[in-house]
Amino acid sequence: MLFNSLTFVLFFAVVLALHNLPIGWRAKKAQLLVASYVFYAAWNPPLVLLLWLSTVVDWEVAARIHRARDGMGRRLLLLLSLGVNLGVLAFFKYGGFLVENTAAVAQTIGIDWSPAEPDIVLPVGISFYTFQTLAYTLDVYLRRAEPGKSFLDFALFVTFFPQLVAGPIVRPDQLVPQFRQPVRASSAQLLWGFGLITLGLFEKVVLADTLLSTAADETFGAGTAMPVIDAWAGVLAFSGQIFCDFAGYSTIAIGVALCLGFSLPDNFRYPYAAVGFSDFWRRWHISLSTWLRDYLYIPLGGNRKGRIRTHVNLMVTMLLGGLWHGASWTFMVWGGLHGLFLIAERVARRVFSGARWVATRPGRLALILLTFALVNVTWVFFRAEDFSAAGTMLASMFGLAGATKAVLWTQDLIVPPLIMIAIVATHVWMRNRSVHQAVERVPWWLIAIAWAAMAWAIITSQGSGDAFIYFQF
Amino acid sequence: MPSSTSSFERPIPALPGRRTVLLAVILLVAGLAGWELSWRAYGLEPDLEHDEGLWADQRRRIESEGDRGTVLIGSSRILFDVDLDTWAEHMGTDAPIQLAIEGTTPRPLLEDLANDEHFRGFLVVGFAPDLFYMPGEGSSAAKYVEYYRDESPSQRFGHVLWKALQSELAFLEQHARLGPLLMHDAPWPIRPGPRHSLRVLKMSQTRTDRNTYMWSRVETDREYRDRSRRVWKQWFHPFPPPQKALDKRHSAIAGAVERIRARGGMVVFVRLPSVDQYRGIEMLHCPRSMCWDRLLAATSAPGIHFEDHPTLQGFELPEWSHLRRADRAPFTAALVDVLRPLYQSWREQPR
Repeated sequence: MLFNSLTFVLFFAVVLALHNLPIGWRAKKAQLLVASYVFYAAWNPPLVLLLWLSTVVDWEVAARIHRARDGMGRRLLLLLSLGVNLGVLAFFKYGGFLVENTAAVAQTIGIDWSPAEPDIVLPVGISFYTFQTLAYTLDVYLRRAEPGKSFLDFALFVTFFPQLVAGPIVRPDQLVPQFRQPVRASSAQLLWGFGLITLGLFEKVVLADTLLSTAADETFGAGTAMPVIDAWAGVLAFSGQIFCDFAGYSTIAIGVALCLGFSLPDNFRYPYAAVGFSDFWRRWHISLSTWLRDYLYIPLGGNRKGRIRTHVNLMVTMLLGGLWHGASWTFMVWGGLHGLFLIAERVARRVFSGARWVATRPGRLALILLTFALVNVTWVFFRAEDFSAAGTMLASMFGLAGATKAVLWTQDLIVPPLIMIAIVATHVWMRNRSVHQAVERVPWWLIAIAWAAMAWAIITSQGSGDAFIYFQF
Repeated sequence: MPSSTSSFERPIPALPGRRTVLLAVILLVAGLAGWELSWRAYGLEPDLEHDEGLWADQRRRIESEGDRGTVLIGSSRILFDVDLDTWAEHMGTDAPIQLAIEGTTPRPLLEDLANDEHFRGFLVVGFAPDLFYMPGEGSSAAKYVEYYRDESPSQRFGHVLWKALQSELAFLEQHARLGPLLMHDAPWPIRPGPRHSLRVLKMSQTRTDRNTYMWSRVETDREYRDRSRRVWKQWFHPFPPPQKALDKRHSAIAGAVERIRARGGMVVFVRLPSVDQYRGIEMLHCPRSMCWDRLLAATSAPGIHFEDHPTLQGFELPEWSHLRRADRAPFTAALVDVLRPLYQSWREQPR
């Protein structure tokens, strides 16, 4: 079920009420587990079996890895976990892509093979929960952690509904310890939780869906070259849409968990004020970037094996990070561009290591804007249907398109860029602050007005509910 | 373990919670009440949205009533012009299942019913020349059928809640939503170049069984009625597709009709009234000889054209395309009278 739906409002009200009943902690955890399975089954009941498979396999495998004495045995067990999790992911998410590309390769070498297009349903959240269970098994294998003692706690960690379908991708030691003793939200946590839920819904429903999506859809769906202003308005609209949609979801997830007394980690920290791409990935989808760092980049050698190898490791990590987002070459190019910019940044840091302007305010602002502009270029590949559309959009953005046709109405040329200016300005101001610190400085009555205004805008904009963009990953 | 992955407790801002919540709630309730009252003053009443969920509710009825029931599909004309209660009364049967969808072709709906073994009933297909031949793939009708097939438990339950709220609050009506009001209806300067389209205005009121009638403002507010006409006029561009594509579509329709017929069902096409400039455009681009007559010839299905029946003429269509509310009942009674021989012959055929 969607966070921005009446079903979820009722569901959450019931869960919250049950969670606050005077019953034992184990019973409450069992309630949360059942609620989480209901939450997932509300999309497609049979797919709960996949969630269960991932849970059971990794619980059992991690326990056996911990007990195993010889290295070969441990490796084989790890391979089993990787095989099951990545195999399920590969089938459901990449099955069609693999078939399509195999057929394309076959054609180029003269083999005429035209397989039927597989009709595979993509289970919601599969990219998120498989990475979550893999983190558990990998931590045990790498001896970073011991297996848990409670299957209930582990199952709840895997399925915890606030973050089940679109993150944050939580690590075992971030959540499981919180399940060990009873928690119940204080009134302050409840208030702040509902405030975050409102903020997240405002970002998703009002900013992303209502004010930004049209310009993005119209420009990326135009199929023709367009004036520079249209192209940039469309790309800026998408950069705002994807941020507000995804960060909105994470904010709601954090708020929902907080209302139940649990703390989830931040997933976004004002990414559009990033100075360079390393900084961007410390601020955008933090739970994924840290996962890739800890389980891919560092095991590959990280930056410990010389310059060339570091660059290769970065590129491999980012290419796979791109592929994680979707079974499409455009996603890989998006990831590859980020890899390229990360490498270029490393080179630039060496070249400009003594440059004083970098540390000045105008210098940092210039770097922030440069990073933001380059991030927008990469978003073209993320959003475009194919390379042809991406090429047309890029050519339009830089005035290289030849004959153009205006696409956007006046309001879509004005509103999305204004929203983006506001978002970037907010990110710049907040880049070293936290939202709770900022809120403490604002008079309480202004908080109340802003809260009421956001809630009003959500209710008067909302239809019956639109899916979040990251549900497709 | 890296610090970014360590367990932590989320810091909470120190705020005077009770005062903040109280003021926020008061302001929110006042804001929503004001919004609701302003829409009620405009003449808006609580109304159900013509969405996939409402359509799916009626589509589900085919499973139990598709054997002998009457189903209506088509575009907005058959949705607005037929009064389900009058039909039931005059035909002496249960009310038909209303599956027409405004602004789209009914061909995906016809295909859907043709593929549904449960359906062996009496199918009345509304024919609107400008919409009937539009591409089926990607149409609203195709999306509604897909929604019906893939509807999740959560969506179905959410729809029940949504209907309950929409039945009480006027501002939940889709035309009162903040986004389109700000980004479409507000008087932004017109930019030369991109095609600017007028948004389809609120035209109807709907019941849970999708019995739909024209909203009173269309009939009583001259400026609103004229705006509605301008909305239609912006779509007066050439249709249908070339002859070859037309014949291909007729062939596909014939296939669907035959599958329904083979199971004991019956399909009747009905051309509902249009007047003035709208009718002129339809006659210009899709004359009877090119469209209607060929459709009936290809499908061997009976057809009722309003031009052939004086009892189906002379009604008032305020914006050229749909009957006013008061004319629905007499029109439906007249239509039922014309359809009755066909209906009875179908009922009497051996099954």
